[in-house]
Amino acid sequence: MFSWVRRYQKLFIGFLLLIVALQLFAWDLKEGGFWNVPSRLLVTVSSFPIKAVNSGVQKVKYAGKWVHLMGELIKENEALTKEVLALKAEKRELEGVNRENARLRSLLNFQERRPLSTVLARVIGEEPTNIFKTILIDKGKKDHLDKGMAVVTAGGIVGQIIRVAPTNSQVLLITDNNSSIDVLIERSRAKGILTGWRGEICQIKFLGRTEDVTLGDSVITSGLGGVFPKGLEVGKVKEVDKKGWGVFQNAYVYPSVDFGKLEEVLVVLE
Amino acid sequence: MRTFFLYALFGWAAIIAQTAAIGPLIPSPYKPDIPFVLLLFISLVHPTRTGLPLAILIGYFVGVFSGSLDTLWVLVYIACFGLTKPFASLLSYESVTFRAIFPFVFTLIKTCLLYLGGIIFSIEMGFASWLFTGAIVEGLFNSTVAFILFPGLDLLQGRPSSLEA
Repeated sequence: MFSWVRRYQKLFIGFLLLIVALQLFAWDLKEGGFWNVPSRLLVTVSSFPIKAVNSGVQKVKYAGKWVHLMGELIKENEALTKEVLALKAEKRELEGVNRENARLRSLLNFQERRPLSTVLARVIGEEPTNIFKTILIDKGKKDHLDKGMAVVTAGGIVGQIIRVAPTNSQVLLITDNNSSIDVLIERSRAKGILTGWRGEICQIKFLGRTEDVTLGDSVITSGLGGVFPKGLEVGKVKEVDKKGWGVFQNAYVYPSVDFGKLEEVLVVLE
Repeated sequence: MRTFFLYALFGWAAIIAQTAAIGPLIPSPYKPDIPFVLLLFISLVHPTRTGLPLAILIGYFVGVFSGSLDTLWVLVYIACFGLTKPFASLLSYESVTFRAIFPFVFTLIKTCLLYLGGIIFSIEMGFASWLFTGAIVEGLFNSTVAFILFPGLDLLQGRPSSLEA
């Protein structure tokens, strides 16, 4: 009997390893949204060298940019001085508008918009492959982060959390093909579903063919789906694909967030 | 056993470099896949008893840090290991042509397997044409990395550049 086992030793080992792989797969499906126990351990242990290497990488990135930036800084300084003066004037005008707005709100008994409860997280890693688009952040379950939470920056939406570990989380970017977000064209209120398309460009699907969409239109979150709060900036329409037939038209969107320069993000806890 | 742990450590270091340095510094699809090039080296120079567990382990490392099911990468790496193995005895591992073409071809095969896995596991991968254009670029970069990594790993192990298995 043992000679038979010895003869097919390689086959047995191969079969055993396949079982291990399938077991991991079953684990994957069962713990969807969470890294399983060994994965959590691996992510937690790896996060220390990842943070160290990433902080070095950021310094290298800055050093390279610094030389290039010096020339631009002088021009930018002049432009900014002019802009500050214009903004000061605009600020005064807006303060008046805000006061008027507050009065109207109280008159109409509207609730003040509740500020979002957020957690600041640092981006410590990016997707290792060329196919998917994710980032790794340094906050996790211990900071009350969970699967499906929205991730944003001051510039607009970034994505949503797909997996959490005690001290880290993985965020699926809006530019990934697996991301789907309900959005609105701000001007015409036309609704569609934003998904990743190619590179850093997103696509709005299921936009009615008769809806009014033009180049440069702002795209915002609709608030449907329960992940992203309503009204967050998504990007600008760069191309509209409207055929002479069919029910829908497609729009292509440049996200307002530069994903290549993400360093800190805000995770929306509610 | 020593070889297994050494290469497991290399695999771990490769995925850390890929996540923390290569990912942020090099945009897609120009970033080379170092763990995959490491897998190709392992499949060429190491016997199945060491190579297959390493393929599973490195595939698992990639899966954990990638935005898809951990197991998809494990299965793809097992399949790539299985497909690569016959070439180890058929072709001259040291030839320049082989080192240039082999990682390129297997990057395309890896992408085909991933696309197939995407269909099976209902994972959206994007347009096939876009994916394979990216794979061609990645393949070129993987070949370049193989030119440095293969002799480097040979040197590190004090092995004359020849096949073990």
